[in-house]
Amino acid sequence: MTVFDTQLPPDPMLERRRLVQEASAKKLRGRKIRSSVFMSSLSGALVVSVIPLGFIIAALISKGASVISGTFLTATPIQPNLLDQDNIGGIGNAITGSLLVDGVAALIAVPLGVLIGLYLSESDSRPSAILRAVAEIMTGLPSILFGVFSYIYIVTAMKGYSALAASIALSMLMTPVITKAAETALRDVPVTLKEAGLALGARQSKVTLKVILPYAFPGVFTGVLLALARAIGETAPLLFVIGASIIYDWNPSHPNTAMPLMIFNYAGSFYESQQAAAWGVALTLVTIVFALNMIARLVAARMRREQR
Amino acid sequence: MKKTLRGSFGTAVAALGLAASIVVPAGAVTVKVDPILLKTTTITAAATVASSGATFDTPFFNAAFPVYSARNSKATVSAYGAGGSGAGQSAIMGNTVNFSASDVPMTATDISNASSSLSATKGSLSDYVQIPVALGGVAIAFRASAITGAKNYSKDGFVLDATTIAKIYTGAITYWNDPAICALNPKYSVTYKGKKSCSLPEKAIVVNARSDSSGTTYIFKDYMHAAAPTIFTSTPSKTTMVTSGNGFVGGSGNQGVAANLENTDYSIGYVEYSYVLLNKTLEAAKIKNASGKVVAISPASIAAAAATKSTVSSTDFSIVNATGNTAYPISGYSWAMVRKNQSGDSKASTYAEAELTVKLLDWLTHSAPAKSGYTFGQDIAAQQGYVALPAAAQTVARNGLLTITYNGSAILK
Amino acid sequence: MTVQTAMQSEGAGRNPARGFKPRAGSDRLYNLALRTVAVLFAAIVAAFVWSVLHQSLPAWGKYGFGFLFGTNWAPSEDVFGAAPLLLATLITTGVALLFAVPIGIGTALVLTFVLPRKISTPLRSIVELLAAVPSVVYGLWGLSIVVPWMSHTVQPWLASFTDSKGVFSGNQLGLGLATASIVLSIMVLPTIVAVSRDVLANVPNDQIEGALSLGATRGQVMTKVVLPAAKFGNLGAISLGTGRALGETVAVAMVIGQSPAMPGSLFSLGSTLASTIAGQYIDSQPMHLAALGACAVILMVLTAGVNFLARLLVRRTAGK
Repeated sequence: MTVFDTQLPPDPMLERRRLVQEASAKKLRGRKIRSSVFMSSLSGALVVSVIPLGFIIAALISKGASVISGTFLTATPIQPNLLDQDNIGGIGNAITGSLLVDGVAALIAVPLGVLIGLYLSESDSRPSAILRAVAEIMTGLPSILFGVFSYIYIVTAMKGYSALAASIALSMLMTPVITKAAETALRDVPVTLKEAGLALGARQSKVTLKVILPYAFPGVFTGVLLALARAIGETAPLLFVIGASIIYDWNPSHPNTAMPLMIFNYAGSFYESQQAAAWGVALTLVTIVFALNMIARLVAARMRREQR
Repeated sequence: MKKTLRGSFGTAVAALGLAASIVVPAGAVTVKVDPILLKTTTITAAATVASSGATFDTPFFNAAFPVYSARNSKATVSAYGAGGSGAGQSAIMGNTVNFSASDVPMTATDISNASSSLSATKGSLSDYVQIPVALGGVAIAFRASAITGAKNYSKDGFVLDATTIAKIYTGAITYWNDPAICALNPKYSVTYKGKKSCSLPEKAIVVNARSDSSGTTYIFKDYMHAAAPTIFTSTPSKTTMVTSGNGFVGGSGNQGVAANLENTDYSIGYVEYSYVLLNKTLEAAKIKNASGKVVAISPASIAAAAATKSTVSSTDFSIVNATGNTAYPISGYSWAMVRKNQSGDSKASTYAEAELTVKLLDWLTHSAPAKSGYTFGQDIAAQQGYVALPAAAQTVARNGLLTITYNGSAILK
Repeated sequence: MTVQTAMQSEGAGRNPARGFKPRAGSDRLYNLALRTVAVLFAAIVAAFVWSVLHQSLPAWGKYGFGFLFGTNWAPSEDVFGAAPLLLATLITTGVALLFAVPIGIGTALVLTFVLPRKISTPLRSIVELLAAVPSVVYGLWGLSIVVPWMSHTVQPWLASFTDSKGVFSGNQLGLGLATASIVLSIMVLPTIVAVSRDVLANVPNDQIEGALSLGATRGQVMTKVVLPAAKFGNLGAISLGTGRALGETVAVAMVIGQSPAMPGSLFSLGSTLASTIAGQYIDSQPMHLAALGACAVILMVLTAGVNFLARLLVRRTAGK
């Protein structure tokens, strides 16, 4: 022991190690501080993301709930005048107008979207790749362009505004969304299922109809719901194709109105009662849209669970 | 925006409207009502009419149509389709409506410029009857706390004339205390050391205008062009006056302009008369008309302007820059267009439909005599902030409607 | 895929070695029907593009490419230059992204790596709900609540920094580019969060774990490993957000002030390409309509281009 008690010269390796550890300890503090600053700014980002939604929902409920009543939801609009500024009737025809316009749009977009999705899922040719790209790009185009298209062709041809023109504009919006969802759902069907069907001697069309489509149905259904939720809230395509209406009207060739359009018109209105009504319509609309989104989400979640 | 009506004019309108809406049992009528008018709410068979056009008339028609439908059980009046004058003109040319409304009457040029899809049905100008259907005024609204708060404001108001307005809207006048404006408002002055100087605020004028196509813009431009043609040289049109270069603040719809005016001090703009009635923070400038008289906007002064042209017609329709002691110079009619030969190329497929069209228009363009207990269309218009058509204009409308025929014979008898 | 294609086009049961033509009548009908629908759709899209182009031709004829640089949009003088509209569009989109990108990617990072799944899944749903709110409701909220707040509180505060000059000069109307940018950033946020989250979730775990095992702090892992790995995907997310912001019509129209002035400050009123089309289309004269059609063409090219770019970027990360 005493031999090693003597003062040995400092081991350069140990010295080096000590210096490195000191340096990295200092740097570690710095790194840790920078890291925690970064992480807290991230949490800040999360908080900032969620706050606006809170404000909007709070505003919708506080301003909209007080306006909604049975009469509000079923009566037709009444024009307030200087003597009676508070009676605005109701928004019943806007709700049915939305139903009509979006219903007809779905009638067009769902078959079209599913069939195109089917085509794209089975084909990898160059033309189909182009079509796929086009459909995807269309989902990102401003919806007002579809309104312009509908105005140029449909409104001019029908010589007037109509719910049908609005439906056509909206179907242009919905179809690519449904196509994308359908193609994804169809491609997700396990190849083994398809091959099993074919191996059993069934024809391609029958395999598609009886095996692939049912399997892909939840995915397609989710896509349809999401497309519908988006279409119900759209205003821009309706602005110059749907006209105006203050009565219940189920005829697609007549002008009509819809909930988003009513919000748009009432928001910039003359009368305070109409401005308040705008919030009521907005709350109704958002409730419907949120409900559709929730259902779509539930269906997608169940589908994922079943497929596991 | 406060809900209460402002000023004595508002109360007058309210009183008139309230009185007119009291329905008295038919047997108790003591005032004579035009017999044709009394028959406007009965038609021979069930029918539906459709109409569309200028947004100026929307509040009027939206309020009037349900009242008419309630009185005429056989009639279905489709909701008015407000899509703009141009859409209304296309609709009547294409026979998708029974009548349409426009801020400016249709001209032969409009017909020749119509889209090719209408060429089969559009016909010529003589195929149509155009009648005045509503009367309104355009207020020069402003917000300038320094002016409205001045002690003499309630007595003197704030005066402008065509020259100053045109110069403001062409950028030649940019400050509230411009000498030309000061000259019109001599009461706004301070005397210091014997020298009198203008006390109007030395602030830049924030100019507001409509950003969308509008009949209100048309009437305003018409006024400036008629009253100050050397300053405001462009011909009247509904197109927006807001450009990238002139720094005007654009508002969408009358409401948009009104809201912008409310929010900015030292701003000026033009809005439909009813917006000034409803809006407590907006003041309307008094206008020095062509006769040199300073007139405030009111139902009476607008009616006085309309009275200066009793022979108003679809080719001679402008009533801006009217002369007279009480005439408000920025007023204008709105027009309805309907096919003259209802059994020919028109939307009407049955006699009842043609009858309903003509009778509805007659009902819309007339007001009930005082104390008659009836309400007709123009009474409802007055409730909505329009000015009831003066008697001369109602006659013009009636005369026009009398010329509409079905199978060769007049419908209105 | 080729084996499957072969099997599909055979109608299994027949000889798989015998060429690719479908034999069964209903199979041929089936393929024909699908192909017809695809052609129909392509025709509709072509008609759509053609209609907008055709309407804009008179404007291009009169101004050529100068239309993009003309600084005066004056419908009453029949003069149409799109530069003010284009600038307003680009400025509102740019400022919106300035807020939405860091907040969005930051949120996505938190949702993917920091929070336990139990909290992050409902939070993801909440952020995605923002995307479901219709544009007109944003506009209503913007007009009723944000505009007065901007006019009374935010704009005076911002103006105090630059003494009401420069980028914060001008009337404090509450409407204008600044408000439109704020509303846009909220609208674009969920798109960026959703796509970015998907991209970040796909960053290979071993890279992250490797960095951690080397002693990197969490912040360093995020900034030096995850973000670079997800670079293209995040750029794709940003592109998608850009596309949405460029084309947003109704909410912007309601808060931007609808005046096609050359933007001089953030408080300027403006008019984007989309909001101008929405506000001025009805009842416009022929040349005005053509000019609006030309704006639609510009909008279509911009948004299609950005979306196309987004596709490329996102595909690249996914390894397709």
